[in-house]
Amino acid sequence: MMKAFDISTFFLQQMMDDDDMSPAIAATRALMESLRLDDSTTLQEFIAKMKEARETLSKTDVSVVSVLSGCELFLRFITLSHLELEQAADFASCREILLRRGEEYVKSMQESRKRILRSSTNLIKNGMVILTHSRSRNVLAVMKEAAKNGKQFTVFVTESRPDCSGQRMAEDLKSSGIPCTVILDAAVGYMVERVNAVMLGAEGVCENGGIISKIGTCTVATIAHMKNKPVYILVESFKFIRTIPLNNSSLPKSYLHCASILNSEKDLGSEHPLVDYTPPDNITLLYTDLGVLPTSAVTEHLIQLYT
Amino acid sequence: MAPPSKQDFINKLRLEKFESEQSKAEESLALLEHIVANASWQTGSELLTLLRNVDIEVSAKLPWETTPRNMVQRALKIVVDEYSSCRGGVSDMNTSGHPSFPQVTMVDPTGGVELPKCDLALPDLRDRVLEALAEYRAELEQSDELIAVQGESKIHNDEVILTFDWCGLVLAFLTRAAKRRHFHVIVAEGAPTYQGHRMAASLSRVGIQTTLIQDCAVFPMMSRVNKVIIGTHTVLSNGGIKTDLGAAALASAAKFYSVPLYVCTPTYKFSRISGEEVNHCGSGSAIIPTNTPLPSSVNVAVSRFDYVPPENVTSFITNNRGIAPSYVYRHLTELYDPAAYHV
Repeated sequence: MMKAFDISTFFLQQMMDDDDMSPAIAATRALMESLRLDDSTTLQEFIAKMKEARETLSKTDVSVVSVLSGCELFLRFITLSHLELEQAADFASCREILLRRGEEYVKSMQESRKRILRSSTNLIKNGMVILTHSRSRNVLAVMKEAAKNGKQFTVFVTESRPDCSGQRMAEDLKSSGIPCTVILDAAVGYMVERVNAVMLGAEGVCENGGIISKIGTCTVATIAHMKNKPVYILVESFKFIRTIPLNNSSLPKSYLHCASILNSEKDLGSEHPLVDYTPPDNITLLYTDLGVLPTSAVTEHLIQLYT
Repeated sequence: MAPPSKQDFINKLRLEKFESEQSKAEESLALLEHIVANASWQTGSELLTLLRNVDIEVSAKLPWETTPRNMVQRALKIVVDEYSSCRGGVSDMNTSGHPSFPQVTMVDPTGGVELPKCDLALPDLRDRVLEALAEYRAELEQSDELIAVQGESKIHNDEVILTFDWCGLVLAFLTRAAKRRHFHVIVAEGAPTYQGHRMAASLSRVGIQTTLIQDCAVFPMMSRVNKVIIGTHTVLSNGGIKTDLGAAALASAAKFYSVPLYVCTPTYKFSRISGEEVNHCGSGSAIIPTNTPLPSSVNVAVSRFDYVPPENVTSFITNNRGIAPSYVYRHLTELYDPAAYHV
């Protein structure tokens, strides 16, 4: 099955080549590639193949939540141009239209980080002390931009076990000249009183405004909220998903564990979850490529996207 | 009467010659109508640029004056709407390259640099915009009345209402309610201006039983209060408000005792700024009387505004209807054009 093999390796290659790329963007680029190479003869067949491709991508070990939401939106966007599609004479011209719309969409997805930088220009102020969790590309980009614009601020990063990506975040920040300290995950309660604000990234944003993010995020956000520190989430709009988890126990297993563990025969009860769910009451504002949104705005945007 | 000019308007703002936000709103609208009617412009885009220059100048010199800026934003939306309906609803105004998902935003990051493209010179655009602005002026003039009328339904007999400082709108609201209901009002005096004294006098003149208290007595009194009703200077895009000093403490006390806080505000106070970005510092003489011996080593800090977060506000009473703080961002998209905001 040449195509299925292609798409996963293409996807993983994209992730390795450009570390800064969000998994959702890499996934949509992989889908674009398979769209180009595709040889379907009808729209039905084409859509079925795209859905299969999306399933294959979600079986890789990269963050499932953002991959699934990015792919879902990509497929919706390219098939949403029904006015043009209805007027197309045959499938070949349909494909042209779909390809063109796909290119447009991928291009705008890649612009989304720049837009987040623009909506967050006034977020970081001089003298601010910021707490962040693990390594989020968006948070890193916003902090680098603020440092470039001459803002002086300090950052505390949690180490973020099990993969210790907080250490990497600290190195990246230090190389941009931002004073930064790595703290233990358990030290969040101790540090939060010294902090002015908390900035976090997310893998997915739920319909009620809650977020699904690296394990430990829920703790940081809850403690910060209790101590009346604002919690800002920096996330792209293609990570909006149509679920409302009621609590942490209702997160689906496919989000919590990576694909290789789900497929192996291990007892899931003793596997550590990769993500957790933070309810919207603990979140102050979402800084997205659509602007600065309160948590109540997410459902409005999702309704517009999906109807 | 001399034709309104941008420079005169800004000077008047700077010297604080307006008695209320309503008069600021009316005069900024007059200025904008003058620009539409008399300035030389051909295409929609030129008009948008001219109008937006007013916003840019006011925000550069007096960033805390949000009312004139909101009026400009509203005028921009009116122009964009009239332009597109002149064109028969054909939209050639997609902002820079973003695929056309309809956007629900508070600040559009792709905007502020490019206004929506309205490049055609349409002959009847001038008249249609002036007509729409005249309609808006009528709405503006009626807004106080429309808010005051809601007083009867919001206040019940034998209730204790708490308010603070002077607000003409709240006075009208309570006066209207007093015609049909019998209730008590407690007024916090609002140091250092003590405008609360004026408010208490006006309330008792219309037959409302009034009590005047110190600002610091708000917390102990709050347990006996049924509702808090205040006005505001600005409504922020996250649903919070920026208003006179003393409101934050009042709102925190109300939250503590679970007393609902209502904010009476006309729609021109809804602004696109978020958070507490600007706090205008006044001079020390506002709180220290002259001839008081105070060593120069003492630093006197006087703030002008207070920020109340959205969690502490129950609802906004506006001309159209009551709005919850979490709905404010949505209301903003109805009032203003997302692309035209100058960051």
